[in-house]
Amino acid sequence: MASITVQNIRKSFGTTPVLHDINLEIKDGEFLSLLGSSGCGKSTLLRIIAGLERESGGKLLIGGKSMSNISPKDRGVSMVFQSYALYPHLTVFENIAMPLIMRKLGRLQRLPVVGKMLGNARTINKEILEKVTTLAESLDIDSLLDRKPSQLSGGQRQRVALGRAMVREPEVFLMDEPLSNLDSKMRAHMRTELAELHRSLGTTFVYVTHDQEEAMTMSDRVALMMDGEILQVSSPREIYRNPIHMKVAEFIGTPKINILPCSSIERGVADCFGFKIKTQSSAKNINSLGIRPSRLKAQPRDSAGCPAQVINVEDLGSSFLVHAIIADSVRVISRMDSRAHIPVVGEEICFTPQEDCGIFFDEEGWNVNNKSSRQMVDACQEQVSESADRGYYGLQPSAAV
Amino acid sequence: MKNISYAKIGGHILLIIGACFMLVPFIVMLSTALKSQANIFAGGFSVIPTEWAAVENFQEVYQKIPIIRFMINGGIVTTSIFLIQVVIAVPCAYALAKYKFAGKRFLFNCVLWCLLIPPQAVAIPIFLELYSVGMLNSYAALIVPWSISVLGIFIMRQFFLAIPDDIIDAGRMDGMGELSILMRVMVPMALPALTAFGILSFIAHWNDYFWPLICLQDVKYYTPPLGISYFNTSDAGVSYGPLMAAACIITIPLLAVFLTARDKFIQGVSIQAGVK
Repeated sequence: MASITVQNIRKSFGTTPVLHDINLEIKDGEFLSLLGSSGCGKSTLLRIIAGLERESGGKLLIGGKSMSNISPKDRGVSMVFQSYALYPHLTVFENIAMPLIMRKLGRLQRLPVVGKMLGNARTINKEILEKVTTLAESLDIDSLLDRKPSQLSGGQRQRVALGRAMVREPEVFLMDEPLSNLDSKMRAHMRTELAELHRSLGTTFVYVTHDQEEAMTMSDRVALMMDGEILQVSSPREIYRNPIHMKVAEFIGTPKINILPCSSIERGVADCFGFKIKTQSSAKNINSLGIRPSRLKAQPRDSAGCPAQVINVEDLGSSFLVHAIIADSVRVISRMDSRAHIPVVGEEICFTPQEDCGIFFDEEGWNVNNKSSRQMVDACQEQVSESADRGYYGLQPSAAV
Repeated sequence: MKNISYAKIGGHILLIIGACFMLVPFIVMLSTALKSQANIFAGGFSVIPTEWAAVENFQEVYQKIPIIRFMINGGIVTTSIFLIQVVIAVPCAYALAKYKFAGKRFLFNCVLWCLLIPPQAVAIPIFLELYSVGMLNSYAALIVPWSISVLGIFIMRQFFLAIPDDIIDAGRMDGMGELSILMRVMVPMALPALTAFGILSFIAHWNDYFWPLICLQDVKYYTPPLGISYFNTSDAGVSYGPLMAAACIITIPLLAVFLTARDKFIQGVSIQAGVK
């Protein structure tokens, strides 16, 4: 087991910068997700940690040891690839055994036929056989050991890839979107299994994904990446409730958070399309209000709130999504309970943002309640991670959306 | 529906004609190998000999020329050429397909240009080179000029390109060095391409008449095509019966090799099919 320290890591491909000054502290035994849309550099960061890609600048420590000039095989890390990357010409057994064969047997002992007779090759081979069999049993793939990867389903291949990563008991697991090739049912199932696996192994997991649901459900902490930078590192709950920037708020949560223009009119009160809302902050530079669809209530026209016209209604079964347009300019979405009165398309209604649930942003998009500014991001990350340790009760009341 | 079936029938008729056209020389070869000299020179042509001389013809082959020796020579030469070609082409192809380095495009263009150079064009320079190092008239003279196969590099590179980088990275994570990746992952995965190249190489050098004719004097190094030309001499005339009988004999290894590797060969020629 090992912690990972990423210090000022930079990476550019040719003249194109991909990662700018990444700083990240991953604790021993933590499950950290690198979340971001495609092209944000999350896979590159993972590959740098793995040693498959060389950083252009900065420092990487795994377990306190500097990793510069250390090859992937000597870093004590295993990786699960998005495509699984199983060896198609080898059986499941050989695939899983490969890391052990390469590590435990000498160069000559790996030779076919003759190798088996050299030194203690026989005992090592026996150990490998036992280890792979036990592992296969625990992953429930022991009946597939003689098959080739092409004869397996997606889920089974996934398990084999996991087995190959687990077999040599690495200090760090790196996973590059391992579930994205599975169907949604299998994905939900594997999500639970991965989380359980992490709990039982207690190993450090670094998990790359573009799927916020995966990141939110499995991780201890989520690092949200955008355009080669880490915007926020905090617990799933914190990143959802107290995003430090509008971009973070917009990325996390489906449907997307509503952003309404608003301005502070007096200390602690802001105005949003004529609706007065408390800000819990003395900040004067409020520019917009972020409010989750489930916290935006649709009311009859004459009640207090922002007047809007319904343009579409989606029935999700358990709830309805009401799409509306405020003042002919701002589109918003409200999630409504299916038992509530659902407005029809074209109806004139009023939206009331729920008190205490708004997130206020300044002109640059920073959260005014979250004291961090761009220069203080690092400090904030530490502070946030502390609060993550304290869990739910450590949160600020104002952040409880 | 009707149109399609007519087109299909037409296509098949064309294919059958093509196949017969390809087959005729073999039938003539086989039929001539069974005929006596008189039968061969008699007017008209019949597939079934009117005057049989199969035993005599084949006997003459064994008595007049060391055909077994020639076949062994052919075996030694083609196998060595293929092995050396693989040893050189596979790492070259791997580098061209998977590594980033300065001049990679240029080197690959060189490979493509070399594909365009006919071997006859460079025969004399190579002959002179071999002469100056005193390697003419030996197995080495037959093997060395062919040790670098640009076709092999090209075929293997195309196949390696289709192998996902993730598998190579997985190999690195699993503790393999570059050589292990090549031997344990790339080559086994590229077996169809390697077989296809092997067959092409084997056929080309087993059948080669031009180069052995230039670089050999000593009969003990003769390869099969050169060896059987004994029956086709300007002063003694052509003895067609034994010549064709010998031709039959030296065709057998070609057939055998092709038939055993047929499935892999077809997989390799339709290159992308190999990787999944």
